[in-house]
Amino acid sequence: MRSIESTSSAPRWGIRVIGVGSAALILILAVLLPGLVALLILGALIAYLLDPTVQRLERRGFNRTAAASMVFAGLSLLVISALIVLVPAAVTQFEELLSMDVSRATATFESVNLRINGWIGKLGLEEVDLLESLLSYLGERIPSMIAVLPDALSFIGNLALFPFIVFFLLKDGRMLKKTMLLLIPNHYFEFTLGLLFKMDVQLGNYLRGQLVEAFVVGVLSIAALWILDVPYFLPVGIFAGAANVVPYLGPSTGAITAVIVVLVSGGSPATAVLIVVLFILIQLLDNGIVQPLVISRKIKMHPLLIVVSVVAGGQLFGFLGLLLAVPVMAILKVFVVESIRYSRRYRFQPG
Amino acid sequence: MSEVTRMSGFWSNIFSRNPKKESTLDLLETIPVFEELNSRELRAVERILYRRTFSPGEIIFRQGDPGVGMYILGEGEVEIRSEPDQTVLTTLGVGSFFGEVSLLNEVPRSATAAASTECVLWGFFRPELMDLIERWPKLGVKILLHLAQIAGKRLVAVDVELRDMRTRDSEGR
Repeated sequence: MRSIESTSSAPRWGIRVIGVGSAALILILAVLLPGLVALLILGALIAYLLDPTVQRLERRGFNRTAAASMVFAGLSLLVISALIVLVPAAVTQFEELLSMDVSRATATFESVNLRINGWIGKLGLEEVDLLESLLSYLGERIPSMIAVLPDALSFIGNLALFPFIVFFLLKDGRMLKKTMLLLIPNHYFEFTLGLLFKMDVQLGNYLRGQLVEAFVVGVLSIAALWILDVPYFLPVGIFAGAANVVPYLGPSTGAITAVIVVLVSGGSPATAVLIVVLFILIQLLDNGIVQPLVISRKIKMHPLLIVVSVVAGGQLFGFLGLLLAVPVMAILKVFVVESIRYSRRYRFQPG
Repeated sequence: MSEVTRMSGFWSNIFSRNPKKESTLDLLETIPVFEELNSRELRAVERILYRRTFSPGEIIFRQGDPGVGMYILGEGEVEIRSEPDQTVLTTLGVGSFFGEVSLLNEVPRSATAAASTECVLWGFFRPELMDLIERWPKLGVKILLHLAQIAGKRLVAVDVELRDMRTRDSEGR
């Protein structure tokens, strides 16, 4: 009987070299051009989230290019109209923020300072000037914030590339995946294909659910803040929706931001309490109704893992990193867990 | 001949039409899974197939591994073996297909497939079939129907072989 040991021919070695080379190139790119890599990840995520919509159009008889173009045009229209509505509002609100009368906030700050110094005096310690400490802290930080500006400008430059990235990933994503799978050696081909399928089943639902959830929480937050007549309700509500993607930290961050805005802009403590109550209600609504409807399968992540990934994402890729940290960590977690679970069912040894 | 070798209705190429044709589309036309598909539908199927080449002796899949999909033999020969004794159940030639049950469900492979010569195989896998059903339900249903028919025919063939074996056994006693 003929032996059925695996043999490798020369062209297959060539394919492996290309595969290893491509992986190395991606790693080098990630180190040298983190901004571009973050945009590619974001583009891939958006294309992945929009894929079912493209498929729905394909079902109606459109070819892939036409379907992808239509979805892309729809998305562009949505983004442009959002910008038309949001940018003037944001600029106006930003201008208001700059010309805001901070005397009341300063007075609050000074009264707190006086009270603290009263306690400190009783303890026999040296008095502190909170306002001066804060201003000197900001004075040290602002130049370093300005130093980040060139990075921000190159980010805007990369941003111009972004629509192209999304469009081509949307149009050719399937072909790209197929081409990459061609590089996988026969030995691991079925395993890789099965693993990607399992990841897709778990992640597709989770990521799309997260997006819908963020949208719902964002809209509800904007509505709640608008009803309570909170200034800058639009950016604060959008921020609360986006922050909702980060479990544990996100919802409280949104509420804290809104409370700070109310207090600094001279709102009453009663409004601040109402905001907290409404944000708790929104969370209850989200956990009780929205989540069960849009997310059928949750990907559990330890709070520590979430905090570490958000900090690492922020440090490595800036604001985009903060936003992408949790979805990327979810992808990595599913990849690791499913790889281990699925590989146990395979026998990779030859012969 | 062992009992396993005799009972090969499940694996043997009972659907072979010996195509001896050149293009992938011509090859696909001869596969019962894609029967009654028009040229546009066949081209859509062709686009989602994976071309894989195997060296002589190389394993295509192993008995017990989770099945991901089916293969169509474009060039060369493939041996289907039962493990652990490595008994050859059947040898398949150009135009044959195997592993189609795993298109319907992630069942463990019931035998090992190994290339006995330099082979070109076209892989049609479950993720692509699911994707096709989403995008083009009419085409997906056509393929699913043929897959079910093939599974039914294979079952009948195995049933007939089992009955023959029982008859032979009772005659031998």
